[in-house]
Amino acid sequence: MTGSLAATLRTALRSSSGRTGALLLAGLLLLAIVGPWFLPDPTGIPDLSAGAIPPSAGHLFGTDHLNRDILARVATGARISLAIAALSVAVSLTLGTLTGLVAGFAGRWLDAALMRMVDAALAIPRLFVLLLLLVVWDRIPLPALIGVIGLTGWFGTARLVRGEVIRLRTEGYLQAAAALGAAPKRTIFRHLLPNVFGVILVSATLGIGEVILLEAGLSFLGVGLQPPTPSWGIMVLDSRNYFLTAPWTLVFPGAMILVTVLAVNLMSDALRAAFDPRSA
Amino acid sequence: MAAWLFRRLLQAAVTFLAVAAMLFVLMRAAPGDPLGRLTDDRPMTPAEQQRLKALFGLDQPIATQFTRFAAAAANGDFGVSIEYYPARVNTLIRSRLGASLLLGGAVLLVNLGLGIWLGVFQARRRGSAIDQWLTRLSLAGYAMPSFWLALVLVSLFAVEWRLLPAAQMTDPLLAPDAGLLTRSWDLLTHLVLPVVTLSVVTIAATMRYQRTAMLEVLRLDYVRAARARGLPESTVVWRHAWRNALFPILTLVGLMLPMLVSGSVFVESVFAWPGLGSLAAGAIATRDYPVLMATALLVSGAVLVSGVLADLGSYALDPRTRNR
Repeated sequence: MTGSLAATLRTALRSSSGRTGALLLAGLLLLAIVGPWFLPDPTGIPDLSAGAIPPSAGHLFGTDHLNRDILARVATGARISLAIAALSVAVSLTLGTLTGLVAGFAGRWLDAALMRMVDAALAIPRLFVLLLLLVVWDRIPLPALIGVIGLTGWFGTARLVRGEVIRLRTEGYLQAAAALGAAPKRTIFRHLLPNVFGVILVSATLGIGEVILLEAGLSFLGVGLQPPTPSWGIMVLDSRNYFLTAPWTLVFPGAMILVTVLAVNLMSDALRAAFDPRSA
Repeated sequence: MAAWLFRRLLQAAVTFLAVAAMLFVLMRAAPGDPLGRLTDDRPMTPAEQQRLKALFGLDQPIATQFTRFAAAAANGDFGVSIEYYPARVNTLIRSRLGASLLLGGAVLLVNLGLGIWLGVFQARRRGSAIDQWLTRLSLAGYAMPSFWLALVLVSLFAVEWRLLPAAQMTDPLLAPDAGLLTRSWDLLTHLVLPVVTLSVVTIAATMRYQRTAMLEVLRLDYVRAARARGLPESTVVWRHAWRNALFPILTLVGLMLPMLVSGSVFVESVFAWPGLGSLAAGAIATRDYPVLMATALLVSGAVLVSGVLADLGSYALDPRTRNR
């Protein structure tokens, strides 16, 4: 499986959407990691009287209403946004995969109970779950925010992985493993997990895009991260009173969200096509 | 049929109970309570706080609170709004429901009409440049934050070019005795931007589902047979193939509802659309917990009902699903 996995990943990266997505993502990661070192302090306020300055050589993306460099702010925002997305998706992926494997493998009442719970959880839009949790939470610390977003995102993955496991259960090699007396733990981790990896990977990339939009949306609604943190959602919210005279304050933070989520979704599209060529 | 429907409804009812329990646990799990937040900026004596707690039933044991909550929710009674006290949450929701249904219905119409057509179109030209570009465009729409797109559209169409109204559902300056035609036109122009925003950010899923489903069907033998009989291509595609590629869309409508509702929280709040979405967005700012809770419960209920309806649709249209 490992050999064909590498081949599949190569196929995904060679496709045009995979290449575009990977390049965009690499650029964003570079901006997120290196950018804040070179750019001015994103929270600093050099000259309040100057107000929002349009994009120029000194400030490529212009400055916002408090005269803060927008490029520096979106770079720090990229750091925050990508970190939240990567970590919370890691949490939800782990939980979802484990639950899905256990439910699909165990079957019977455990499966039924877990899946009823997943059904119920999936019926409540994730935004509302997070709103109900965060609305009473003043100034949530970043790790808690990551945890909460991760804990509300694993239900879809669990259902997906469970479906794959049930589909795979009748495959010859799994029956062979069972006939040879493999322990459930070994069957799950050595035989099932590698074969549901494709589904998990596609689910992970989609999940990252979802979390970036979700985090931006929560910030825009005023819950979650709080100003002066340069979260992209907060920047869009801040621009609401100024974008008619200073459109660049609205355009750049939103475009960052768009480009990032698009890059991840293009990757996801390429991976899905590589793992399941029939759908391409 | 009756037995199947009964089982399906029972399952939905059990799931709804689980939803209610989860929401209640969420409410209790969050650090601090809504009233605690209320007192942040308005200092109160302990006695006043106690009185408030009693008023909203927060002084009762957890079990009592839950049974009260469940009983009230089962009766469709969500208590009193904190922000609009003493208005009942029910009254608020009822006054906002129409606007949301109008917006949601219009979006669904555009999304499904255009999305299905585009998905079929893409499947017919699989692999062509236009197929690839449509996929990329729809993915770009899917990647857009709805609140940002809404603001961009407002600044272009409402402010820059003055083509469409920027907010609200009706023109406040409209003469009270305006005719039906004027009123409808006014409503329509107000609908355009919110509907476009929500359609752009949700249409990718419809296109993707329809394209995949259509590809599955187009390579089946009966489609080849229909072509071999010399039927016009449009007849083959729409009358023969598409009918069998419609079922995944039924499932999708059930899946789309949460997306649509979440999107309307942002879009309604940007466009000041007087629906449930802007009610919820306002409730966030004022920490109006009963309103948020009721909206969440209502939305989850609607998701479950639409799931049942989608299954019912498949049951009626596709005999293959009846054995399950």
